[in-house]
Amino acid sequence: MCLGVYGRVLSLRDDAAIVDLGGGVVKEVMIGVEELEPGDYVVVHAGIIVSKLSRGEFLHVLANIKESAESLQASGGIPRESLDEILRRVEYLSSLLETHQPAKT
Amino acid sequence: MKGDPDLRTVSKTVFRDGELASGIIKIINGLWEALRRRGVGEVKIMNFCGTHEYTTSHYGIRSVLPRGVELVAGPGCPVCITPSFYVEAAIRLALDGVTLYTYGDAYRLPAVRKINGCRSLSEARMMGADVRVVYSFLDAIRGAAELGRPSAFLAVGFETTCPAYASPLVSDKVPSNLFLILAGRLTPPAARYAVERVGTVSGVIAPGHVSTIIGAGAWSFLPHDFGIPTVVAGFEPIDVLIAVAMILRQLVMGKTELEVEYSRAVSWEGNRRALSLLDKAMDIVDAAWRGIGFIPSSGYKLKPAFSRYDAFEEFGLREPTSADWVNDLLPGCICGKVILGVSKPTECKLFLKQCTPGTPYGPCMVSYEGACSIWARLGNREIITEV
Repeated sequence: MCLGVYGRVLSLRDDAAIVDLGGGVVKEVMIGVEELEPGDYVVVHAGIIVSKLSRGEFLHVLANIKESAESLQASGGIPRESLDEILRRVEYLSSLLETHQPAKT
Repeated sequence: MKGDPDLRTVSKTVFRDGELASGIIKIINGLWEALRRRGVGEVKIMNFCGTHEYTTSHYGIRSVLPRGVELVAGPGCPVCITPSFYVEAAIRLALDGVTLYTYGDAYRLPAVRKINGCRSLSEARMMGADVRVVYSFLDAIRGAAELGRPSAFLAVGFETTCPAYASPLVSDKVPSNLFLILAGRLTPPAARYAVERVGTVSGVIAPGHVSTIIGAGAWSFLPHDFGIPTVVAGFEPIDVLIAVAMILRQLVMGKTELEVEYSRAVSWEGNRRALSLLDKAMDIVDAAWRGIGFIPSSGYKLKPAFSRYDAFEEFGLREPTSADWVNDLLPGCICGKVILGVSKPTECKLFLKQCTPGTPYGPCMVSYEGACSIWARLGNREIITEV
């Protein structure tokens, strides 16, 4: 039941937000987080925003996979060609996410 | 940037990527081989969220893991653990003319005792009661304000859901004719209870969306007190696979730590605004879990300042105490053991015989996030490991 839907904030109104939940669904939901702005990506659960998605952290999982694969290959746990395949895929998928990274200051 | 694909679309592409999944499975197999060489025969990883169980089953993750790595469903469904007492109270109020609001899963949740021939709110509606399924508490607030009649909301849920009750209470948005049958529950106390009883849990995949509220740090007792590697994870198949790999990596390295895989949504300290709302509106009390009994400090209760919205006080209902608690499962139902991860749904004699998603007998077959319902709808009756 703790299913969360990723949404995008379209506008703010008092203590409510209008959120695009995808698939043509736009709903007014309660704001359960601090410092929200239009354009933010959020997790919506049962009519309330429970979390603001951090764009910078989307690449975290891929970096974790890369690190795991490299250390495992170094200890002989997977062959070199498997590591190369994983790194190529991680690089490609990272490039998809990089267009959404926050601007560097 | 204009013209760029939506981050959510890109995210689905990345976190459901088959080639990446194949790579992570190779990592998992490599880590498992390292453990096997050290004489480890079995690794049991427990999840505490119905959505993790759904992802695991829907994407066939059990079938792609090494035979010694087992994923077990723990207490992760707030509808399944809602005691029969609350359902019976809601049915009684609905039949007495109170407009009753709740979520779709709780609408079908069966009680142990029939109230005037009705075992669920859906049956009460068939008898003519005014029972309304809503998406959120906000819908009930609007409905009750418009109708002006005595109304009640069967408010189930874990920490993720309860801020949706606390927020309008604190901001004085709840109409005076709407009352809460509050059955909110906290997950870490149940997790502690489950790992103490299962005993052989080697790793935990902690719930991502509960953790958006309570913070990843709330799970630190698992590595500290029980020596269990714990990873707070997201809900896409890549998230679950990498969480398994992270747990195995800790076991290989001899570490017991708390790690956050779902850092895109979860912080260490949690959601300060939501926690503050919960703190203002609710006290934490010992509370009953269906088929399990009372777990210390595991339930929410409205603070005295909000008791005018408490359906128990308004309608003269009395919540059961630990002294008069009786097991609230129907005869033959083993949902209590399924919820704790002690038994699998397939070990129940009623599974897909007397108890099916269309005609649920036990609470875990009702909710879409109940382990029995997930296993019945999506497989897991036999794990395919070879083609």
